[in-house]
Amino acid sequence: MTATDAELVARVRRGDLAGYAELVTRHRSSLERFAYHLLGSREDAEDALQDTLLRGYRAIDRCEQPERVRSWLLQILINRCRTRLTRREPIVRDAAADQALDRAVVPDESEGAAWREEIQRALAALAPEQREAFLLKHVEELTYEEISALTAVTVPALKMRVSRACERLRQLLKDVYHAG
Amino acid sequence: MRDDELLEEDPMLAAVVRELRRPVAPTSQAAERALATLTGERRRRRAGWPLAAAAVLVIAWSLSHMSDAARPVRFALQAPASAQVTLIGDFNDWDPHQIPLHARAGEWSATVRLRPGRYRYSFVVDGSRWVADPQRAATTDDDFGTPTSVITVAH
Repeated sequence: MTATDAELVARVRRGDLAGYAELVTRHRSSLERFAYHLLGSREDAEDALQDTLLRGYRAIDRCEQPERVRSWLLQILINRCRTRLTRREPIVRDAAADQALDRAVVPDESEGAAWREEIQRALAALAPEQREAFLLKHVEELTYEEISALTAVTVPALKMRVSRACERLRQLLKDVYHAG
Repeated sequence: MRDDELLEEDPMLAAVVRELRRPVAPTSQAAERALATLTGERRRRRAGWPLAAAAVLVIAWSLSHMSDAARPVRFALQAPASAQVTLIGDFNDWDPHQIPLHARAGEWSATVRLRPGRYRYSFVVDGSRWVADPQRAATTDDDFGTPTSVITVAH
C-alpha cells in the first residue's frame, strides 16, 4: 500500500532519508513547474528548488500539518522564489536557451513551440505578485484560502491579483491564440 | 464570473493553463542534487567524529603514511544506455559532481588516485540512480540502504 504524505513525514522525522526521497519524487513535478513559471529561468528555478528541498528536510520537524507537506514545501519555495525575484532585474526570459533545450529533448511542432513561447513571454510581463497568485490558483489548483495561508495575503487581494493576471494574459495573447 | 468557471468560459485561458500544467521538460537535477547533498551530510554525521579530532587524525595518518603514495585505481561501469555517470564515495565526500566518468563503447570509466585504505563508493547514473559496482564486493556496513561497493587499496 502506498504510504500517505503524513506517514512519509513521520518516517523522515525518524531519520529516514529514503522517505524524504519518496516525498520529493511525489511532489517534485509540481514544485519544479511552479518555480520555473514564477522565475522564468531554468537555472534560478533549479537553485530555488534545491534550496527548498534542503531546507524542507532540515526543518521537517516544523511541518505542522504533515498531511499537507506539499503545501508546506510550496510555502518554502514561494519564499525562496520571492527572495530571488527581489534581488534581480525584471524577468528577461532566455527564450533562445529554452528553445534549444526544448528542441534537444522533445522535438515538437513549431506551432506548439511558438505558443509556449508566447505564453512564457506573457507570463513574464505580469507583475510578480500577480504571476504568483495566478500560478497558485489556476496551475497548482489551490483554493484562495490555501493560497492566503501560504502567502500571507488576504483572499480579496488574491482574487484581485488573479483577476488582473487573467485580464492581462487575455490582452497579451489574444492576437496569437488560434482556437482549436 | 466565478474563478472556477473562468477556465470553462474562456477557451484561451484554459489553453494557457493546460500548457502551464505540463511538467517542465527537461526535468531538472535539483532534486537529485539536494538528495545527494543530504546523503553526504548524513554519512559525514554518522562518522561521529568531531571535526577537530578528525583533522588531527587525518594529519597523523598522513604523516604516518607518507610512504604510502596514492596509486591509480580504475572504476568502470557498463551502462551503454546512460547519459551520465559519476563516482561518489568516501574519497570525495559523496559529492556527485566531482568525478564524472567518461564513456567509451558503452563502458563508463574514470581513474582516481587513492592512498592505501578501504573505501566505500557507488556510481550515480543519470544524476539520480545509485548503482553498486558489479565487479567488486558490496559493502556490509552501509546503513543507508543504498547500493554501495567497497574497494581496498593495498599498501
